[in-house]
Amino acid sequence: MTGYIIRRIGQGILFIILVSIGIFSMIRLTPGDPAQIMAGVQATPEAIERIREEMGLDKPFWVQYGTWAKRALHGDLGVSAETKTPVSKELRKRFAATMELTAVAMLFGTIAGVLAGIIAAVYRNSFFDYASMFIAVFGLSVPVFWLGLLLLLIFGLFIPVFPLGGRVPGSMDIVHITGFYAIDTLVQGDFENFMVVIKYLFLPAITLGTIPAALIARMTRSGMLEVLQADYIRTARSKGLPERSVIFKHALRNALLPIVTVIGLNFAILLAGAVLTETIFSWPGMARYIVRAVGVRDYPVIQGGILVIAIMVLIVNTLIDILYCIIDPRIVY
Amino acid sequence: MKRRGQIRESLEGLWKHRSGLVGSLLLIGYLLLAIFGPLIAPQDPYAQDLSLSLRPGFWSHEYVPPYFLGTDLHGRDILSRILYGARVTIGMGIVSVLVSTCLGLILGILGGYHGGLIDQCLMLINDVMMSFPTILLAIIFIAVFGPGLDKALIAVAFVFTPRIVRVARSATLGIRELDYILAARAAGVSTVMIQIRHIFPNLLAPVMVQATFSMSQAITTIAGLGFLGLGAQPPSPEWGAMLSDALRYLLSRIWWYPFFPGLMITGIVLGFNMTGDGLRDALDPKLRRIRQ
Repeated sequence: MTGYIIRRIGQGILFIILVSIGIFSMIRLTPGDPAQIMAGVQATPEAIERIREEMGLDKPFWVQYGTWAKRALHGDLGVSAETKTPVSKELRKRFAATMELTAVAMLFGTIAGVLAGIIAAVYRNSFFDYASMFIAVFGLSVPVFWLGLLLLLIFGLFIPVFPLGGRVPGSMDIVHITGFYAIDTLVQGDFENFMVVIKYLFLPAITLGTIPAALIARMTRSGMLEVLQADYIRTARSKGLPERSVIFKHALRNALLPIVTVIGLNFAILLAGAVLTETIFSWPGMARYIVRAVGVRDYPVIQGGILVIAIMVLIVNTLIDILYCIIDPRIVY
Repeated sequence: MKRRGQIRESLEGLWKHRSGLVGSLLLIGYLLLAIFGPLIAPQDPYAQDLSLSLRPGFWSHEYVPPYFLGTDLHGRDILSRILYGARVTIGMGIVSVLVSTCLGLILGILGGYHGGLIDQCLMLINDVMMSFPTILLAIIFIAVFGPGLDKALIAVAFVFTPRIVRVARSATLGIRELDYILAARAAGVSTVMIQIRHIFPNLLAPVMVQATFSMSQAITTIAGLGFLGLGAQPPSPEWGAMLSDALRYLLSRIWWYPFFPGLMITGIVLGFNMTGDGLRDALDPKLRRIRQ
């Protein structure tokens, strides 16, 4: 088991290195001179040269990468070319925002999906089954940004229940403990602010969580269907166990295994959706920050941001794999 | 003979599968739309008339015929833009996945058949690419090559190649050890011939299923890129780009602006997803297997 973990960590490091080299080289492959782009259209040749030296763009590729990597290991991801603020500081601010949105969306998706899947499987071929599976396929097909726009229109404008965007109203002040506002307000017993935070979280989380919900619903349903036909379920029923126990204690646990794996996959899907969701709801998150940086060719931000995402993806995937090991005692590494 | 059998099998299975049927009908509908749309469009999709900006469509008393579905910010007819945009969005989606399928097949067969160091490297790169969020990967490609429809097409083709590679490779691994392949090798058939005549036809089924799902995702990604302003550029009537304009006018309750293009995107993605479901169930008799 330990050998496995060590191997995984090694693979992970390789993954991070590959990704960072990939990003680094891709950005420098860009047509156009980055120093010139950063200096602006009216810059003099001397100014461009100065920027080139400052950013170290005149040195050979591996030297540039080495410098960047060494600094990155110390937590220094450089300075944004646009705003001149440290990249790591900006990312840290937005990291919690994206993580909170993603986590709540995942929570919603998992709960809604599993419940729908179980009911659909247990009442197979019922109206609920067909309806929920159709909704699931629909949910998979709806573009995230359209769904967000529609929800905003309906519940933000026509029936003004929810705010139109942003994470918190400007007037609110929150004491930062974890950076996750929902937790922070709850921990302090500040229920009024907690409700405000939830209100702002609600629409974006539902928008983002729809696709995972649909995926999980389908998977749960097919998993449960398969498991419910197994012999041990028949045994449990003939033993006289209450149906609820059969479903939840025996069937669900076995059907849940592939879903756990899928959570790792869903994380990447959620991040992809976050890019669009954050744009629509003006959510001050990392994904939106990176997209904007791409638009203005802010290299340090792009590099730093992708590195952080790569690390997050890696951690989630590794955790899921280890979790998988623990849940299924049959798996031995 | 294998190829014909598989295609016939899949078509028969599709017919019996309800959602696969609906999906295919949807796709045929969209195909017709893409081909004939511009012919029936009432207006020029690029023609601006600023005096008719942001007018509602046939449901409202402010309706200005013949702008059936209303107008956008520049006074352009939304219905016509949707009809023309069908070619852009659908065409891009199909072409990009076709490219990635070709690439993926070649890489997957080569990697799966020959194995060794090349295969290992391929798998490493594949896994790295697949674990990343798709649209983010596409955005990075755009970061290098700049925005634009053609660049977006290349970006999306790259992003969806790994999935095909994985499917093709694992299928190749399975087929490689079968007796008739060994027999062909013993008979002296060249490697390339084996790959083309024996391995490739048997990959068609799983690759077709994956390609269908990839098309639905590709279209969503392309629309997403258009939405972010990184794909289709104005004044292109691409459906995703139409939605990006709409965001700006949200507060004015101009709901028809985002509603119809988004509906069209949902429809075709739904079509591909349902068809993919149908194909997958038709081609995999061991239906009970949990598949992602």
